This record gives sequence, C-alpha cells and structure tokens, in this order.
Amino acid sequence: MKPHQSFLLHIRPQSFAAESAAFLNTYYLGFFSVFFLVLECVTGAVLMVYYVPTPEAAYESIVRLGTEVAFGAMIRDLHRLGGEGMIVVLLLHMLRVFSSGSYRGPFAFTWVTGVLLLVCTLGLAFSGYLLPWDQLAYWAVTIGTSMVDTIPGIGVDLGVLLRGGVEFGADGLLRFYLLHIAVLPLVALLLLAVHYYRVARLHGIAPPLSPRGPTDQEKAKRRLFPDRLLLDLTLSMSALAVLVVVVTTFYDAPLEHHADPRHTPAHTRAPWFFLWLQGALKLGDSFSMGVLFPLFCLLGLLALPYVDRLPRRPLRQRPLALPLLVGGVLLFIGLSVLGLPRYGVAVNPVAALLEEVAPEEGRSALHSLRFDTLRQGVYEIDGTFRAQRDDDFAWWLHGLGQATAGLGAHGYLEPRSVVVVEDWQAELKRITVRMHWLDGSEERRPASAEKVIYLHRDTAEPVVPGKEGGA
Amino acid sequence: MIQRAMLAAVASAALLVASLLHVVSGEAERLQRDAASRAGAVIERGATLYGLHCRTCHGSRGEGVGQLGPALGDGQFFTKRLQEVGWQSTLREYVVSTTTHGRLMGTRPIYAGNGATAVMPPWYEEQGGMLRSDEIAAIADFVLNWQATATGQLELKRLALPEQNPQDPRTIARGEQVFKKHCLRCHEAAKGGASALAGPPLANIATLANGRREGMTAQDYIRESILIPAAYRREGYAAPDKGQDCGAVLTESELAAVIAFLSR
Ligand code: HEC
Ligand code: HEC
Repeated sequence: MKPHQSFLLHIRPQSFAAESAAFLNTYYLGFFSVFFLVLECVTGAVLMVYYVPTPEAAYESIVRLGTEVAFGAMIRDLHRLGGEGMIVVLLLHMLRVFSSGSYRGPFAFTWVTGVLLLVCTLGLAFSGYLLPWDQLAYWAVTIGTSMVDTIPGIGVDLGVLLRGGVEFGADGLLRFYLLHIAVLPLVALLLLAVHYYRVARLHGIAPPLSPRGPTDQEKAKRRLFPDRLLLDLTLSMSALAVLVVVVTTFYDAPLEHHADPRHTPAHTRAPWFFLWLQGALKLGDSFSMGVLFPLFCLLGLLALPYVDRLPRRPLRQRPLALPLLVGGVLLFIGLSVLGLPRYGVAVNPVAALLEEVAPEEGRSALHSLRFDTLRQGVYEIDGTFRAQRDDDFAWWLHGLGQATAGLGAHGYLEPRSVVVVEDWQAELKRITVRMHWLDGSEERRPASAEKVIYLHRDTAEPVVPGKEGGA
Repeated sequence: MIQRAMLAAVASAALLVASLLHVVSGEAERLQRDAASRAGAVIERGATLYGLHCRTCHGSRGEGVGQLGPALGDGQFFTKRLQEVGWQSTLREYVVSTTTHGRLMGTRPIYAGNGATAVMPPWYEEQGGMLRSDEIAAIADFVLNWQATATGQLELKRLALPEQNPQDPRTIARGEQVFKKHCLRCHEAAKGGASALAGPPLANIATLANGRREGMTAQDYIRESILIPAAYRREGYAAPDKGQDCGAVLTESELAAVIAFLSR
C-alpha cells in the first residue's frame, strides 16, 4: 500500500456495502454536504484574501471583487450559492434519514451531531450574510439579532455581546467575521469529524429496508480504491462544472447599497432559509416566536432518536412519522410564505407602485430599457394612454398607465401619472415619476406623490453590437 | 466496471475544464463591463445624494444659487477655479476635500459666512457632517460628470418644464401637504414659541414678509428663509440647529409648492 493510499484509507473505510452506499439509498446527500463544505472552505479562503472586515472598507472590497479581481465575481457567487446549496442538501439529507428511520439505535448520536451541523451551517450562513455590509445584510442581521434582546434578564447584555454594542458597528462586524471564518468552521469540522467517524467506522450507512432479504449482488462490497474514489471525483467535478456554468450565466450574488444605520429600507427581507422565522414572528411576540419556538424545534430534533426507540421499520408502518414529516415540511413552507414581505404588512398602494417603478434597491425596469429610447419630454398618462411609438419605453409607459388606472380600485379618484425625462448630464438622465389623484374627501382635494430616479447609460441594458440603437 | 468509472471521471474532468475555459475566455470583458456599470451606478447614486444635500445651495444643475453657493457645473469651475485658489492636486481631490472639510471661511466675499450668508458646511461624518467617504466620492463623481457640458464638448437641450402656477389649487394643495409633513412640527400655524425647536407662526407670513427686506418679494424672502432660516433672525426665536434647517430636504417643486401655499 502506498503512503497516499494509507492516508486516505485512514480516514475512509476500505470498502462500502454496495446496497448501503447505493444512490437509491442515500441519494449521495451526505457526500454532497461534504462537497459543498469543501467548496465553501476553498472559495472562502480566496475571499479572505480580498475581504476587509471594517465598516469603512468591507463594502468596497466586495465591489472590487466584481470590478477589479479576475474571477472575483465567480468566486463570490460560488461561495454564496454554495452556502445556500449546502443548506438545501442538509435539509434533504435530514429528511432522507428521518423517513428511512435511520436515526435510531446506534445511529442516535450521529443524528444529534447531524442536527448540530445543520445549526452550525445556519450560523455560518447568517454570519456570512452580514459581511458584505450592504443594506440587505445590515438590516436582516440587525432584525435577526434583535430577537436575542427579548430574552428576559440576560437578553440585552447578550445582544450587546453579539453585536459589540447596541447597534452593529465595527466591533459587531469583526465579531461576525471571526465567527464566520474561525469559530463556526472549527466547530463544524469537529462535528463533521465525529459524524463521519461514526458513519465510516462505527455503524456504517444504514442499509435500505427492503422486505425481502438482500440478494448476493446487493451484499457485495465496493472498494474505496478505485471504484468509490472515481465516483466521488466524477460527482465533484460534474457538480462543480454545473455550478460554474450556473453562477456565470444565471446568478449574481446580490449587493445593495452600502449599509446605512440611519436609513431603514423599504423592505427588509430575511434570506430564504430564515423566512420561516420571519413568518413565525408575524404570529406572536419576538420572544416566544423568535427564541422559544426555534429552540423548541431544535430540542425536538435533538431528542427525536431518544424518544422514538422502536426498531427501524419502513415509513408506511410508522403511523406517526408520515404526518410528522409532511406536517413539518408544510409548516416550513407555510411559515416561509407568510414571511414574505407582502403578507401582514399593509402598504399604501401609491407608495407600492412608486417603489415598483423606481425601487430603492437593485435595477429598476427602466434600467432594462434601451437608454436611447428614453427621449427627453413630459409624458402625461392615464388609463387611456396609447403608445404612440413602438419602442421599449413606449411600452413601459403603456404599462405604467394601466397600473395607474388600477389605483382607481383603491379609492384614488381620477388617477394619472406624469413621467418627466430630462437629459441631466453627459450619459445621465433624470426621470421623475409623479402620480396625481383626487382624494376621497368631500372636497376631492388633489394630491400627488413622486419619485426621482437617475439613469446612467452604462448601468442600462448594454446595447448588443449590431442591434439598432446606441450612440 | 472500472473502465466505465474511469471514462465517467475523464468525461466530467473534461466538462469542468470546458466550463472553466469558457469563464476564462469571457472574464476580461466581464470585468470591463462590470466596472463600467459600477461607475455608472456610482454617478446615479451621487446624483441622488447631490439632490438631497447640495442642490439647495449649488443649484439642481450646478448653476449656483444666489448668495447661497457658487456654481459647480460651469466652465469657470472646470477650467479656472484650481488656479484661482492655487490648488496643486486634481479637481476631483478639490471637490472631495472641500466637501469633506467644508470651509471655515469663504474664499469669496459673498460667501463670507458672517451669519447672513451660507457657508459651505463640512459633510464627512468624522468632521461632524452626515456623509460617509464613499458617498462623498460618489457625489464627486457626479459633479465631475458635468465636465462635458461645462467645457462645451456637449450641449444638452433643457426641457422646458411647465411653470408651476402658484395660483393653481393643485399647487397650493400640494404645498399644504408639504407643509404638514415637513414644517408643521416647528411652525404650528396658530401658536408659536412653545418648544425649543419652535419657529415663528407662519399663518400671515405673506403679508409680514412683503417689504420686510427692501427690494425683495415675499416669495423670495420666504424662499431664502426656508433655505437658511438664520439669514434673517426674528426676535425671540432660537436659531435652528444644523440638520434642523427649514427645508433642506425639499425638492425644487416642493419648495415652489410650499411657497405658493404660504403666500396664497
Ligand atoms: C448651506 C449651503 C451649502 C450647501 C448645502 C453645500 N454647499 Fe458647497 N459651498 C457653499 C458655499 C457658500 C461655498 C463657497 C465657499 C467659498 O467660496 O469659499 C461652497 C463651495 C463648494 C465647493 C467649492 C466650489 C469652489 O468654487 O471653490 C464645492 C466643491 C462644494 N461646495 C461642494 C458641495 C457639495 C458636494 C455639497 C453637498 C454635499 C455642498 N457643497 C453643499 C455652500 C453650500
Ligand atoms: C426644526 C424646526 C423647523 C422646521 C422643521 C422648519 N422651520 Fe422654519 N424656522 C424655524 C425657526 C427656529 C425659525 C426662526 C429663525 C430665526 O428667527 O432666525 C424659522 C423661520 C422660518 C421662516 C422665516 C419666518 C420669518 O418671519 O422670518 C420661514 C418662512 C420658515 N421658517 C418656513 C419654513 C417652512 C416652509 C418649513 C417646511 C418646509 C419650515 N420652515 C420648517 C424652525 C423650523
């Protein structure tokens, strides 16, 4: 045996039971969890080279990744998407282990380390969320940590300890950075070591629960060298190739405006993996829903293998498990939907329309029109507006006219919009969207609201060479 | 069996290499595009911030506003100003530095800063202002983007906006809303002087203001009072603090509307 082989064999078992390690038994979910973990470590190490954990420099350093560092955007996108992918895979892994009942008996403590790994990963995702120091990050994490403040007695002190002050500032950012790059990864690696040791050395992967006895073929062993290793390599390389294509063609990690403690954004939205918590918060007070409820879920998961001690049986023979599984998944989805900003918060329809036309963050619909079709002028539109010209901008105005007419359904009388396009500077246009209506009072007083947005040619949709348009 | 596994591994390796090559081939262009789009976004941001903080004194198109502040978008500023003050570094540095530190003393008599005229305040948060360094940089990029029009390389036609008619009930109604939202907390129409913040009641300001300053219409008096409340002191009312000025957050049309409302 060559030395490199013996090192690998020291970590990994020499062979696997073919039926346990088969795709239809594990769906390779455990493998992919580790794949993502490795991806996060490698891309994270690259990001650490460029990232500066101070409120003055953090945001700029993320911008630089996109505009100055070769492959910087790809690395950041991989890291961001990889983290979310890891959570998806972990959740599926947990569902798989739950539904096949392989958390019982000798597997009980392995399940516990798995649950703790999930918590660790969520912690990593949450702490990493803050690091770009944009509005999205700042406010999501501010709201997230404010739940800690509601714990009676120690809450406020705990919150200050976590944030380094009453508000997030330089101290809090540094704390989250250290949690993200040192503390949590160390804990995760430790937990993973225990988890993997138990799976690989102590009890193996639980075999499928087939009613008939295993056939000879299924009982066969598969060697680590070279079969399993080749498979692992194939899976890793194809997964990486797919991810690279996805992040370079379909995905851009979000980056909003620089964090501003003085300005609460129009929408603060938790990342999707915490939307369920945001939804739960709409149902009760912050302490019971924001602290007790997740704690209760966690304890339930940890205690599961010690409460349920029956021998393994297929899912259909476990009367409680199926409702629990379906109920849990539905609860997660239901609460997440409830957590979307559009539920439970009353919005003023004019403000909502203006925010849609000229959003505070991200690109507006105007940014995807061709720059030169926005010709200087005053455009008065109401519900009967007809596009005179046939270009992007005319259609956009047409759409705005319909949306404005829709305000009539909310008690706004005679609503109309005015759009003013002005050439403001070289390659810069200023667009004012103003809405007028009569209010519902006796005197029918006129009222209006407006929003101004600036548009630079280089942020507008790049004109494809050869296509009509361009300066 | 092994051969198939080998083949799969080689195929996936080829796939990975192909996808990486694809990225490599487009990366230089992507960097260029993203850098340009970022620079554009910074100018957009600077335009918004300028409209919020600088427009009241320097004019919405950098044309300057009377005694409040000099022009920043004209040829003089772009070609002569640096020599005039003997600034050694670039114009961008000049804008960033002036905005960061403000001016203790005006360099020109009409901006002397003697209480009756405006001074250029410091804007950087560490100097007591309210902007971060990246915001100041964004504003500077926006100001410098006036270069093409200021030096005559580019001519932009001004859009002839319909004048807001101060007699139009729509304008007055809009002005009333602006007043309720921005002014009422200090200027309760009936009583005045109740709190430390309070400014004088404005119910009959139109008549009061008419002729208070020689050669100044009521509208201009009100306009200047809103922009720098300390310009004309009234007995018995506190000078408003910095950041608590009457209307620095208003847009030009809101300002016009509220003036129409006050002088109705
Ligand atoms: C309260 C009125 C006021 C506001 C608001 C104001 N400024 Fe000024 N600014 C002035 C005055 C007055 C001067 C002239 C000082 C002098 O002549 O020394 C000036 C000078 C300047 C200069 C130098 C111009 C020159 O010709 O030397 C720059 C650049 C400048 N301001 C930028 C800004 C920016 C950027 C903002 C917004 C963040 C801003 N100012 C907001 C009043 C103001
Ligand atoms: C933070 C409190 C505050 C707010 C908000 C405020 N003001 Fe004032 N305003 C004052 C004070 C204080 C004075 C008196 C200054 C003095 O005497 O020097 C004043 C003076 C004035 C004057 C001059 C009155 C006179 O008789 O000379 C006018 C006009 C005025 N404000 C209009 C407005 C308008 C319009 C708004 C809303 C856009 C507004 N103010 C918002 C505090 C405020």
